[in-house]
Amino acid sequence: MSWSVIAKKDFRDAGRSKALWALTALFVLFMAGMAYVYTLVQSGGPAGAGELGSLGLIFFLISPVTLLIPLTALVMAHKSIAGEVESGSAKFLLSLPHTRRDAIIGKVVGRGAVMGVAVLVGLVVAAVVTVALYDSFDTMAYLGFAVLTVFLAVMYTAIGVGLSATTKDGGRATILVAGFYVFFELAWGLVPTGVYYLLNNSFAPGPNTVPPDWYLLLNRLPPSSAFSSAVFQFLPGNAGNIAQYFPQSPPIHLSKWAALAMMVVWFVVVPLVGYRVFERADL
Amino acid sequence: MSAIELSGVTKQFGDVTALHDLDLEVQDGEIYGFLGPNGAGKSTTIDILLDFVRPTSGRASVLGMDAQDDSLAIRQRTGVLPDGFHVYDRLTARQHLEFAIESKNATDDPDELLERVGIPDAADRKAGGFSKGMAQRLALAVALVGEPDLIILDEPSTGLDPNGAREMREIIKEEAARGATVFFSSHILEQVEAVCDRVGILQNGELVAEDTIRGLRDAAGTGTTLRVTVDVLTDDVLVAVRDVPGVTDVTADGDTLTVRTESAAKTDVLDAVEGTGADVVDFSTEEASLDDVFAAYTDEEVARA
Repeated sequence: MSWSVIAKKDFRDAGRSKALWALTALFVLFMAGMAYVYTLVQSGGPAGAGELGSLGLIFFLISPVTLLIPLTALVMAHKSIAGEVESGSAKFLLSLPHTRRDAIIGKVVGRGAVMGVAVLVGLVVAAVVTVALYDSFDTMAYLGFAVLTVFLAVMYTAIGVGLSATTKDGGRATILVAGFYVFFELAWGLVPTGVYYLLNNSFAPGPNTVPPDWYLLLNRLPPSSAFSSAVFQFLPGNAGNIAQYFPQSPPIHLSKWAALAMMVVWFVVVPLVGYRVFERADL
Repeated sequence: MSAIELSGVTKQFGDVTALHDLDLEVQDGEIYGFLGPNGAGKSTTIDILLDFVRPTSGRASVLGMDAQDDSLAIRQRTGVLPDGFHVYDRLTARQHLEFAIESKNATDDPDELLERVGIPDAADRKAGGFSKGMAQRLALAVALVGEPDLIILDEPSTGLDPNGAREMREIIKEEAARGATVFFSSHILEQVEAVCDRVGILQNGELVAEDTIRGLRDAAGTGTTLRVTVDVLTDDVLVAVRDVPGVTDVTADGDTLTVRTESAAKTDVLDAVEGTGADVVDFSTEEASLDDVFAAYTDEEVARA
């Protein structure tokens, strides 16, 4: 259980560095701010004063959340291992009886907790705003969203730590996480499109055709897409394209559980790859 | 039992061979000085003992356990002051110690340890603002946590003033008296001379000598040097001194003779000088310094100069 000692130290360290406070302030402002902005959007909408519900807010939040949380988590985590090896504090840490595996787990837990707490506080404040200003508040849906959002934050922290463990150079760690983000979150759309083009000689399925399963699945693979798919499918409202294409129940690999499983895969696999490299490295 | 045993350890970083077929044994309970110029491979050796670095070939064992397979158990019983380490800037001195104590499941009192290394007032200061010497003292305190059976100190006197270095030596002696084995590396000879039972000299990744300080001094053959100034230096004086048994070399500079001896008594040399009728104006003796010993092993040219 030596990872818990490292996690505790890391969490305290973040608290002392003001990073925890800055992040919490950021997410409070962001979540509560969005909750307020959504009231303006709805009242100014074409339908006049539409019904102001928490579910609408959640779907409104998805895309800014998938932008902000991954970026802050990667910024928080990307130096966690590489930075320590580069500066020499890893020698301090690993001269004590900790395995390298414990170092990685401790960092994921410690920094994941920092991100998780900051996001959670933001969500709580946003919930208060919603209860005060909105016509309806769907507690279960909001809770589900909160759980998935905290998981997104922790998952992306784990990805950052995992990538950090693959290199001894802080600068390279920065490039790695930036590359990861660009490839999986910004450029990934080209992958299913490219494959579709090779197979069908057109870039995307027509508006009235149901795309093939593999095409839908590929689109759901990146970490943020796995998250938004899970939000759409676990929460009520039949939002998202899967509900349109499969009004009854989707095939298992396009189900809500598959989306959740994909999040778990990201959460586990990237740190595992990092561990494999770190374990073999000369410090 | 030996506390540290390296057999046939070779470590290559790319094309560079940092250690070449190194054999080394440190006995339980001894203070072993690991000497060598910078870049000789001292830190690499220590990194292998701690499993920071894996040998290309050969085996290392610490406290009777395999350095790679049982690294965790080794580090549980070992205190380390690493070279080129960096403190956690935002943690205070006390928090560093609390972290180490908790990591080792030890029961030490952080304040007591800080008192011992001479920085009790820094307990609640963040280590990021520490001078190199203070950081070094803090790292020593961390190394002492849990009464380790083996203490590994990599260049421990870096950044310490002479007073600090002396206190460091006192602590090393206390720990050895408690029964701990101390393995410490240095490129500074006085550090080693004052405390070590045995010394190994590493040069270009190979152990070029290993003995007690006295043994090394004898083996290096850099005995005593006499400087004798006479009123008038004649060839007779030179010949007479050269003939004294035990004198290995005589050189003249103006009226001063520099006489290297292995074993000759200085009175024999002085008697020989005065036997020629010359008057001794001044004379002094120089014991071969450890630097000469060190240089004799690590750089032949310097030893001759």
